[in-house]
Amino acid sequence: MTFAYTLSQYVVQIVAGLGTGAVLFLIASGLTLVFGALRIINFAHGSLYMIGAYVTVSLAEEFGFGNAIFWIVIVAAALVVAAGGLIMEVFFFRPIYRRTLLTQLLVTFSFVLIINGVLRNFYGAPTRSTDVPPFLEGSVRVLDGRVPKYQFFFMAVAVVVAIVLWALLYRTGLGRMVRAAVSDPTLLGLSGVNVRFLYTGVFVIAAFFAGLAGALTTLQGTVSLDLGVDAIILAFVVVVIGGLGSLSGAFIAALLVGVAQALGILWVPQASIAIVFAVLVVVLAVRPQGLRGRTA
Amino acid sequence: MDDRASWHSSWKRLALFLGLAAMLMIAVVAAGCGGDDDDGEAAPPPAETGGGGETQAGECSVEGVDDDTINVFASADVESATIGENLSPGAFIRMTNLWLDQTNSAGGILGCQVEFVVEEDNFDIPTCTRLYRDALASQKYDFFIGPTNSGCMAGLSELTGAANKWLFSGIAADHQPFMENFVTPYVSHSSVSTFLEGRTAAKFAAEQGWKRPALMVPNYAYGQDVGKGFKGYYSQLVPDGQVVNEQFPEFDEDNFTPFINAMVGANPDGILTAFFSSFILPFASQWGDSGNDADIPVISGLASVDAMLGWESADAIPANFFGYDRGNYRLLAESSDVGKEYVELWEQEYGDEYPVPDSFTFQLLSTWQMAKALIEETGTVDPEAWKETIESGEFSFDSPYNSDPTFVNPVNHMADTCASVGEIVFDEAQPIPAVYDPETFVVGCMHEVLPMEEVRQLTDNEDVSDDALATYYENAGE
Repeated sequence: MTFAYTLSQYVVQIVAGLGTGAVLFLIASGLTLVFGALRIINFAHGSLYMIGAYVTVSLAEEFGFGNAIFWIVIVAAALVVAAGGLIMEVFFFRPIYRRTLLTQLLVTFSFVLIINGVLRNFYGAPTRSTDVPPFLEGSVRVLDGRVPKYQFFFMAVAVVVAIVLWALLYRTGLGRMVRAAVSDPTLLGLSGVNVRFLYTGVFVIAAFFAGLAGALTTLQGTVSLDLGVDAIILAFVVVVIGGLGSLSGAFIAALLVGVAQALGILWVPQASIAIVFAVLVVVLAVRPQGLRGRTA
Repeated sequence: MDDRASWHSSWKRLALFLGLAAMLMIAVVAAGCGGDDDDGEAAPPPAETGGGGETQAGECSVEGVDDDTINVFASADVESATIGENLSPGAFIRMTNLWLDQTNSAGGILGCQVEFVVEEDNFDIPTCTRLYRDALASQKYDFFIGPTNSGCMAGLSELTGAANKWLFSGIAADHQPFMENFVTPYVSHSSVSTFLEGRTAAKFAAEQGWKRPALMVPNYAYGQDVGKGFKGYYSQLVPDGQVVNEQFPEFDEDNFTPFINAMVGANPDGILTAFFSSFILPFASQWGDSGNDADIPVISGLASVDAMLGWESADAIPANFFGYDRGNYRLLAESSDVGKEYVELWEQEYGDEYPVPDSFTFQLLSTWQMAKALIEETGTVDPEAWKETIESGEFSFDSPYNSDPTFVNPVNHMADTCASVGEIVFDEAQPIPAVYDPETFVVGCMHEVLPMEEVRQLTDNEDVSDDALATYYENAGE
């Protein structure tokens, strides 16, 4: 274990970690919303993220990934995932909101297997990849190092999404109801709100952002059938650290996890992921409800 | 709750249960169905590849063989093609079929036809291990070929050895059963190992004058073995050199920026990574984006055909980008009769759809050639006889890797194969434009990168005399 790095190396590594955290936030934001409002632990959320990545690959192969087309492709991919989320919620998740945790886990985990099987059938097992749109090619110099441009793009998107979600939650009627659902779903139902539509809306929004995260992740790597499982594990870590149901908590936690992982690569390369889980343990020990979660 | 409510509740529970069961069934069926190739054709079948062609009449004279057929088993990720379609066992089955056709149509091996059964393991270790256990328990097979999955291969030799069956490591390149713990004597390695890849990379690094290499090897058996092979040999070749940084990303890592930054921060003069197939592509892309490629050469790993297909323009390949190859078809077609023969057969049979045979395919070809030679020399499938033959130090076979007979190290049972490190360039004149530049190849062969003095330090085999070992080195070195 060594800490002997220059300031430049630390800065570059932290910037890289923020990029990682930005994508994590996009995934975890939906997950924490769904848990907060719907009280459901959706294992299939990572699979929605994976669908977004695969749909992006297909659209990019068909239409290219030029500067203008890029925006259309990623939004289209996110909308496809949102539509899929709508179907999932209406036909399969609605019946299980009042079921036991075990039933919910079984159903959501079933979707992990189903989605994985469908994607394998459709795309096969080999990895897929896309190009990077021209405006995101190359890197940006940060002190003595360089960071790929798309990492800054991820951060920008994450900030925009965070603002949009904040505005949605705190400046709209829908947001008021979502926050009420997080606080007291029973009272919300008694107050005459159409809880079904509300839940569907939240789920669709969460799916949209999961799909968007999947679309963006194609910029940095290949797309494979392991993408969903890999993402959901870290997304859950983020949600727990941030506090279940807390969007601001998810934002802070995502950046924290991204940076922790990046610094772990510097300090303990053999076990960098252990740093992330060490952060989880420390947070839970000090603040069991998470950074921004509420106590029971 | 009244009776009617109770009745409704029960039916709801039953309906929910049946719905869950149906969803699980769909999941199992969907996950079990194979994917098609991109062009819509079915992937090569995983079922028996018994070979075809007309057979000549002849008595099967191999001792220990039942029903005049030599039965062989392997598991692999055939239809899932996790590691790439051109690298995957779909490709090795294509080469195997060529070999089986040639061999069986010529009368088989000592009059015995050869049948090869491959079962799908989806690149999953528990599945792979179970398949081998079941195959061993069936007592149907005369010898075994190792799986695609390195993690599965690591533990297999104990199973096969306990069942008195020979295991060829021909698919997974890993050398664990051959070094450090020689846990069973009934194994042999007939192709290019990760040990050889790592040591050839070290040879390249030494020749290039690297003094401060950094390593980024995936957190996976294959990657770790290449890294160890590199470090062990590099320290011999460049005593004043030093590995300045090591990174251990996950096998399917996508975000390499933090790893690249950590390595570059240590000011290396060269980098070795140990990815393979299309898993190299994200690293290549991010390495190019980092802007460090102009100054720091990289040996990227096993850039097989599936990786090459991912580079569609010269700009996509970073500068100073190298890879190691465990049997480049252009090199083998020139350097060995077996290589030339099978490259030509491949082009005739598969050239339209699969223009070039990946190096992976030659691994299996070498395995079949070694098995054939062992059977012909001993007249049996008895593993003890094979062990004795190999450990004489005089056994050789015609592999695609050498123009002369390929000898087998009697101590570690590893064939004297050769790997190469070369620069990856874009040549539109080639069937697949991204290729190794043959002018830049640095070749390393086992007898050279593993000197006689070191063999016994790595493998404990007291059954082999010093004379037998010396005989091997004398023959291999010629």
